[in-house]
Amino acid sequence: MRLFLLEVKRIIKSRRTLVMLAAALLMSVVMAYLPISFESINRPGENGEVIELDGLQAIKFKREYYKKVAGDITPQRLAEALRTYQFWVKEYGTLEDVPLDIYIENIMAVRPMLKGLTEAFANPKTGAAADLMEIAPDEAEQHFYEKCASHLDDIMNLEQSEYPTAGVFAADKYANVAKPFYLYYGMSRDAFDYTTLYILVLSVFCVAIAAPTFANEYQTGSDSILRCTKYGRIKLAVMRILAVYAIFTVVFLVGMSVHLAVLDFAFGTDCLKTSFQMLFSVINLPGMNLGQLQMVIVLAGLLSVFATVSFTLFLSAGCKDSVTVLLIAVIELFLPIFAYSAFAEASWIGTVMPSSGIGMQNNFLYQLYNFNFLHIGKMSFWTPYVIVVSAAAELPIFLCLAVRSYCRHQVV
Amino acid sequence: MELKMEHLSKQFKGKRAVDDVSLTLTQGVWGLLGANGAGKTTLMRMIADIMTPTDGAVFYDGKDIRKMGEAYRELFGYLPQDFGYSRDFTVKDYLEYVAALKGIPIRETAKKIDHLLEILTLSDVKGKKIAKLSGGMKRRVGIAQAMLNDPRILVMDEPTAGLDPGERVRFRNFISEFSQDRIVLISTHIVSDIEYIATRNAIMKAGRIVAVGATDELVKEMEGKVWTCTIPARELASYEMRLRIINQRSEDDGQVSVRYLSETPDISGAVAVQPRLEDLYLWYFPQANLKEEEN
Repeated sequence: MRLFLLEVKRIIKSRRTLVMLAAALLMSVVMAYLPISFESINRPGENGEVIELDGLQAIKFKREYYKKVAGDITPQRLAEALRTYQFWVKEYGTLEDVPLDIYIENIMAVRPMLKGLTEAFANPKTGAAADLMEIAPDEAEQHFYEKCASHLDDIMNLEQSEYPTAGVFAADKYANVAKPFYLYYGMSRDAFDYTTLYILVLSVFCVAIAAPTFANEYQTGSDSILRCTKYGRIKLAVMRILAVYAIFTVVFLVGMSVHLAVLDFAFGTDCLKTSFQMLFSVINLPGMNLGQLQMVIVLAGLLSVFATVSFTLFLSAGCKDSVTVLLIAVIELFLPIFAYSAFAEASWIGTVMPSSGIGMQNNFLYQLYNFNFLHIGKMSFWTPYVIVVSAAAELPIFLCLAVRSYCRHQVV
Repeated sequence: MELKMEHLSKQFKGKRAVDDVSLTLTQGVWGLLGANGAGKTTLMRMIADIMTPTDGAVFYDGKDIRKMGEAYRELFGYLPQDFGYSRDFTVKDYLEYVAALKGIPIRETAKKIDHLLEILTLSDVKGKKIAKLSGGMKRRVGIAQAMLNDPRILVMDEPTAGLDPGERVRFRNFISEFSQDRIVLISTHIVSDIEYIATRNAIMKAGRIVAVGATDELVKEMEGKVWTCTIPARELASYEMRLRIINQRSEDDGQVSVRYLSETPDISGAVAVQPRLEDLYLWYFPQANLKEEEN
C-alpha cells in the first residue's frame, strides 16, 4: 500500500501529468457544453415575427413543450399522431408550407414519434424510408411493432444475406427489446456523439500520461537503481500499473460524471427514460433506455481506455524511449478509426484492437446502432460484443506482458 | 561473507565486454580499476543482477544471485555510473520512494534519510528538486540511496565523479567506516580515492582481470619501475618520445623534474622512488593519462 501511494504521488507530482489531468477534466465540461450550444428552435413571437432560441433556452422550451406528449409509444398514439400530421400537411399542401405557429402547435410535438413509422413501413426490397403521407394510420395502429420486426428482417436479408445466423441473432435480440417504446423527446444524438468524443479525448490524455511509465525510467537510467532494490521488479511493476489505473479510473469517472451531469442537468433526466430505438432507429437491437445507454457507453469506454492503456504500458515496458512509445500508442489508438474509414465498414482489424471501441464512426455507440457483424465461416458476431470481449481479453494479457517485459528488461 | 564471480562473460554485438572473469570479493573495500571500455561497468551491472551474463554466474555465499532474487537485492546497494531520477522528485521524496522499494519500515525511513543527508551534507537541500542540484550534490543523493538499506554489498560505479576534493575526503572516510563487515566495490578513474581506502584491488583490461591484490602487494610490483630525475626543459620532448613520463614539474633555471615508468633507469642520475597505485594503473594503461587529458 505504501509503495502504491508513493507511486500515485510520484505520478501526480509531475507537472506534465497534472496539466494533462486538469485539461482532461476541463474538456468534460467543454464537450458537454458543445451539444448544448448546438440546440436551437424557432418559435413564433407575439407580433408574428420568428424568435430563435438557442442553447439552454431552446432546451428549456423543448423540455416543457415535449412534456405533454411524453409516454409510451402505443400503436394507438402513433396512429393518432399520424392522422394529425397528415391532416395538417394536407391542409397546407406540403410540410414546408405549414405556418410556423401551426407547425409548433400541432405537428412538431408528434414528429419524433413519426420518425419510426417511416422506417417501419420502409420498402422491404430497397430499405428506402416510407413517406408519412402514404402510410395508412389504421395499418400503423394495427401492425406497427410487427412492421418494425419485419423491417429488421428485411434489413438483415439485405445486408447479411450470406449469413443467416446474423439474422437469427438480430431477431432474437430484437424480440427482447421492451415494447411499446417510451419517448420523452429532448436529449439529442449530438449529446451522445460528444460523450463518445470525450472518451476519445480522455484516451489520448491517458495514453500520453501512460507512455513514459516505464520507458522514461529506461531513458533516464533511474531504472538501474530501482530494479536493484528489494521490491524493484514484479512488485514495482505491479504497483506502478495499479497506480496508473487508479489515477485513470478516478479521472475517467470524475470526468464522465461531470460531463454527464452537465448534459443531464441541461437536457433533464426525464428524457433518459426514452427508449434507445426512439432516438436512433426503431429496429436497433439494444434493449435499453438512454440513461442505461449512458452507463453502457461509460463502462465500455472505460474498458476500451483501460485496454488501450494496457497496450501502452506494454509498449512502455518494452521500448527504450517514451517518444517511440507515444508514437506507436497513438497510432494504435487511431488505427481503428482509419481502418473503419478505409474498409468503409466494420473489419476484424478495426474491431479487435484495444482501442476499437473508441473513435469516430467505429466507436462503441455507432456499433450499437449499426448492424455490423463480423464472420468466421458461417458464424456471425455482433461488433459491440467483439469490441467488449476483445478489450476485456487484451487488458490482462498486455498487463501481464508489460510486467514480464519490465522484469526481463536488460540495462544496456 | 563472499561474492564470487565464476567465469563471468558478457558478449555484445561484436565485442566481448567481460571475458571469463573469475574473482572472489571478500569483506572490505575493493577498488576496481580499468581504463574506459575495460568492462568495469558491465561487470558491475552483472553483479547488480541488472544484466544477464552470457556465461558464468555470480554467487553470494555459495548461492546464485539470480536465484536469490529479492533476498539478494535486500542486502544490495548500487550506484550506477549515470545517476538517473524522475525530474519531479525532491531529494526527500526520492529517498522515501527508494526506501519503500528497499522495504525499509516506514518508522525507520525518516531517521535513516536524515542521518544520511546529514553525513552527506544534503540536509539543507532535502526539499529541493534533484534536477536543480549541482552535479556533486546529485552524486551524493545517488550515494545516499545506495546506502539507505545498510547494504551488505555495496557497488558504486564512479561514486566520486563530480565531487570536489573536500567532498571526496568525506566520502572516503564515510566508506571506510561503513565497510566494516561488508563488501564494498568501487570503480573510479580517480586512483587516489581507491588508494586511500581500498583494502584490495582488481585491475581490468579488455574485459579481463589482469591483477588482483592488496594495494601494497600490487604496488610492490612496481618497485624499481618508477623513477624521478631532473632534465633540461629543452630535452623534454625527446625524452617524452622514449619514456613514459607520467608527471613533470618545471624547476628553476630551465630544468624540469620528471617522474617516469621504466624497467631500467634510462636517464643517468635517475632515482627509483616509492611507487603508488596510480603508477601501477598507468603501467597497465599507458594511454590512460593521454586519453583523460584528451577528454
